[in-house]
Amino acid sequence: MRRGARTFLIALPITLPVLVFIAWPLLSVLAVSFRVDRPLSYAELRARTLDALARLPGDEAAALRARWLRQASIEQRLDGTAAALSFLGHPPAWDRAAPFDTQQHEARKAIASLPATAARLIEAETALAIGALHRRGALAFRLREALGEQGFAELQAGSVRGIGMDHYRSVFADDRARGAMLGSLVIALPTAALTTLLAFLIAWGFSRNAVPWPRLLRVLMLAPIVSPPVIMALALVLLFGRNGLITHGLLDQMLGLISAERVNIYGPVGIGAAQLLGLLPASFIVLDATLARIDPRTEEAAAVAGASPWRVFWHITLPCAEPGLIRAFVLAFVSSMTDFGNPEVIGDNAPTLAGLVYDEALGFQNLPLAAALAVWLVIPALLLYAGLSWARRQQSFHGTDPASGLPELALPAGPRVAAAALALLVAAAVLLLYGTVAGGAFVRSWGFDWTPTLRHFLPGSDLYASSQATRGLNALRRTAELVGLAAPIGGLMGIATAYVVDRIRPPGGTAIGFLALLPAVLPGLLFGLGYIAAFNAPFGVKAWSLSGTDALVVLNIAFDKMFVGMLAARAALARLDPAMDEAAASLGARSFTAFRLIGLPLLRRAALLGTLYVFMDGATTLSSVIFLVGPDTGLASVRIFGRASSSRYGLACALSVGLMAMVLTVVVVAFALERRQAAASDG
Amino acid sequence: MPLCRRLLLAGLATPLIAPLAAPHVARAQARRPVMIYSAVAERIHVPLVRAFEAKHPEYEVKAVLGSNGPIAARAIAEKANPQCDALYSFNIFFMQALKREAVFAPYQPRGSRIAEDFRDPDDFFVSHWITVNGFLVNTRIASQRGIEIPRTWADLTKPAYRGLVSAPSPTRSGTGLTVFTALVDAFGWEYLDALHANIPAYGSGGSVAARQAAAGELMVGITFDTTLLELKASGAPVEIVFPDMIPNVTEGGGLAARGPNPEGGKAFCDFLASPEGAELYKPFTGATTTPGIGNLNLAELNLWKMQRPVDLDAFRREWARRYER
Repeated sequence: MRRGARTFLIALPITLPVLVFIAWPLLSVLAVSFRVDRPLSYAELRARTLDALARLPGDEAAALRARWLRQASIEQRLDGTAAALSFLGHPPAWDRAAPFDTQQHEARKAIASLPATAARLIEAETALAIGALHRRGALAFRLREALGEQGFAELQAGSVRGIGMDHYRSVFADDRARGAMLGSLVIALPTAALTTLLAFLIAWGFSRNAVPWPRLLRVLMLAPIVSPPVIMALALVLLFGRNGLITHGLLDQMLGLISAERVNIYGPVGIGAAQLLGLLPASFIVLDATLARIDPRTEEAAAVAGASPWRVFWHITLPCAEPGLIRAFVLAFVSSMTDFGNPEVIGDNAPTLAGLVYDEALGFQNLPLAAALAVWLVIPALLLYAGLSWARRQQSFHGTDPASGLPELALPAGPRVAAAALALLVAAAVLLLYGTVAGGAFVRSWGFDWTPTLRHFLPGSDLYASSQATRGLNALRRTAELVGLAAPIGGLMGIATAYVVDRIRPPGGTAIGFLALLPAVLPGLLFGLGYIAAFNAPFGVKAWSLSGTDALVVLNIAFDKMFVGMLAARAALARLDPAMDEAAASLGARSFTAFRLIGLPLLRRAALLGTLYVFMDGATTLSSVIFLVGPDTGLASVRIFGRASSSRYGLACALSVGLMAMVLTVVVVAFALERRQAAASDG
Repeated sequence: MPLCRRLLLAGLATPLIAPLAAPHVARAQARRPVMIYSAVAERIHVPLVRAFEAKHPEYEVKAVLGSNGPIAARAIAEKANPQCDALYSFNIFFMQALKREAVFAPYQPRGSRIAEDFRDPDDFFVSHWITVNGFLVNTRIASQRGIEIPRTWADLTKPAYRGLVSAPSPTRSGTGLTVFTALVDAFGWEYLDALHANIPAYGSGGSVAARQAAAGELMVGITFDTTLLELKASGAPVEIVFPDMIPNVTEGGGLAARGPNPEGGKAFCDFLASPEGAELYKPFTGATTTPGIGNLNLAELNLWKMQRPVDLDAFRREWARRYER
């Protein structure tokens, strides 16, 4: 109990920001999903309109009704006539979806068939109906003060607020949502399974020294995690698209084997391939950490005792790796489900749930439905995460001492060659795809005009944005400033959160770990809109608004993307014997000191990885930031995603190359510093 | 004496300092910010702002630019504490949404000659320009394959164009919604079925299809005038075709409700709707809504006017049911 209170207080500087900058905005926006507006019936609209008209001074009301009738378009007039006829007990018998002139003819006929007194009544009612149906907005604004905010909102919108689960039901009731859910699952399940399998085999090869040039290959394996998102999809399109180098240039034009218009990478297979390559590094990190925790002596002992290599693998390696396998699978599954960028670039309209969330929120301003669909995206993640925690509790074991020497048990030839070949294959694919993107940056027009050029790098000569030259540079500088601030915050928050969750373990620590993952799981636009909901007028107080400040943008980027640092740090901590912490504590070190002296040095790489990821992803995906930036921040210049999905491949490639060069520089400098520090502390 | 010297110094220094100081003085005289949210391209926005600020030195324009969807969503989400004073360059669907969501306040711009047809009857917004859609045809592919350049919508459904046509998706793009609702209104769903057979994929944004045609991924891309003119000017081997029926959409804006600087917002709305403003965006648009100012001769084009009611929600559902796998 006392330990609980103490760890709670120690962890507070980390848990509080996570709650304020992740949980609160997300709750604010997800709460909208329960909002179900009930449209007012014509009778209700009519009553409210009459009430509002009565508040107008003098004979303004009569003048307004006359104007409504006079100014009505043909469509409005038909709506008004139909409503008036229904209201007065003569519902229209003609087809309301017919062309306007047909309807008009029918409406005249219907009115002519009524007695003269009824016709006059209908004319008066039509004027009111036109106003109630189409023109009440201006009336509401005119009387905004008199009606009060609620009365204004209801008259203006023509609906009353309510709460309900309707939007959640739409996943089952609505064809489109159901199709998108299925589409996402059909892509995510095989992708996640294949990613996990590949990552496991390769990590196994690494852990048993079966892979040649381990340092180089490891770097290549991990590279995609700090490369611009959708770079894989971009490269795949350049190679295997309708105008791709391989599909069009080689197989179609040169060999005549296929028609690149019909046989190409676009569609679910392309999405899966791009996701597989993009997700492999994260799965690899997780499985690499897990396999490193298996004590090689256990396996050696089994081998000495006469177990066949197959038996050792089946009865020792695999069970020990199980938690890691589950975790890697969940991670890949969730990332694939919620991926928006790759389907957009390479999906060819294959419907996905994440895509539908964007359509609903941005194309049709239906935020309540979008938020509910987003919750449906998270539910598989929640279930899997819960299942995973349960599975881990069932099977809690620590490798006795992971640092107890290198494994000497050689793998049999078969698996050895297979693991090495897979690692080489993936590394080759990564190199090929990066090479393709680099190539794309230096030719005039991919697949069309192979003249070498530098023009994609020169904003002034950019065909499509010639007037943005100076602003482009300014935007790059601003982006670098904002993301440059967010990156170290996100990196440090990431490892600090990992340390809190895995080592300090305050009450509710697991929930904090899950919260930090949520921004990665939810579509980015919800995180941005959540920041508006939470910080535009906090608790309804406009004076506390943080809207348009740089601070809000920086915080949004940092907390949106801190999860990679956290995951990397948790993987590193898993390799680290908790006994070290306990030793430090028993020697009297306080939590912070223990963290600084023991945690931090070992987590340096995780912090670097997390920081780089925040920088890279923050600089390139602006999905949530567009809702928060102050005026004239001009983020448009660094949207690789926008460029790639609108087929401006040359620009997208050039921006990718520029960012990769930047990250490479940072990595080289960081590793040089690390080595010098290590050398200094040795000497 | 010291006073004299000071005056003398001041007299000497003024011509030297004045050119440097003047802009600072002007800026120091509390130029009030006017916040604009817009889906406009920067090359249209910048000259407009420059001219507006020259005319109204008391205001300084600040702007957040992006696509229709995110910027409208942001304005709607900020409704409880509005951050912008005026919004412009949204297509008619988004203007109607912004009206419905009470982001726009009613306001009738002063000094405008914009025709009645292009004003919201309740004055929540005005349309500034009209956007027309056409075909961008890659002539190199046409000659390589020996196919004729399509001239009508009926041409596009011919088997020769199988797999070579692309259009923006109506569920993901305003341009797509404009094109396909007009096609259904004019030719019915049967026509869309036939066209669909020739379209390998629909673009996620308004200009994607045309860029694919310009890049040689496809032969015909359907898109709006600005992109058509831009890609033609870029030197790509393309030809612009305005077919027998022209789907079109208007774009414009209006005053924000309860913005921080309503006077500035009104001044900006006035400027946009004035002939002076129209001259500034004319080079970038098909035709402005101010009579006599525009690039394309609208009289030569069969601009489609909807013949029957369109339920946009029902439309996109039906579309998705038929064509989204």
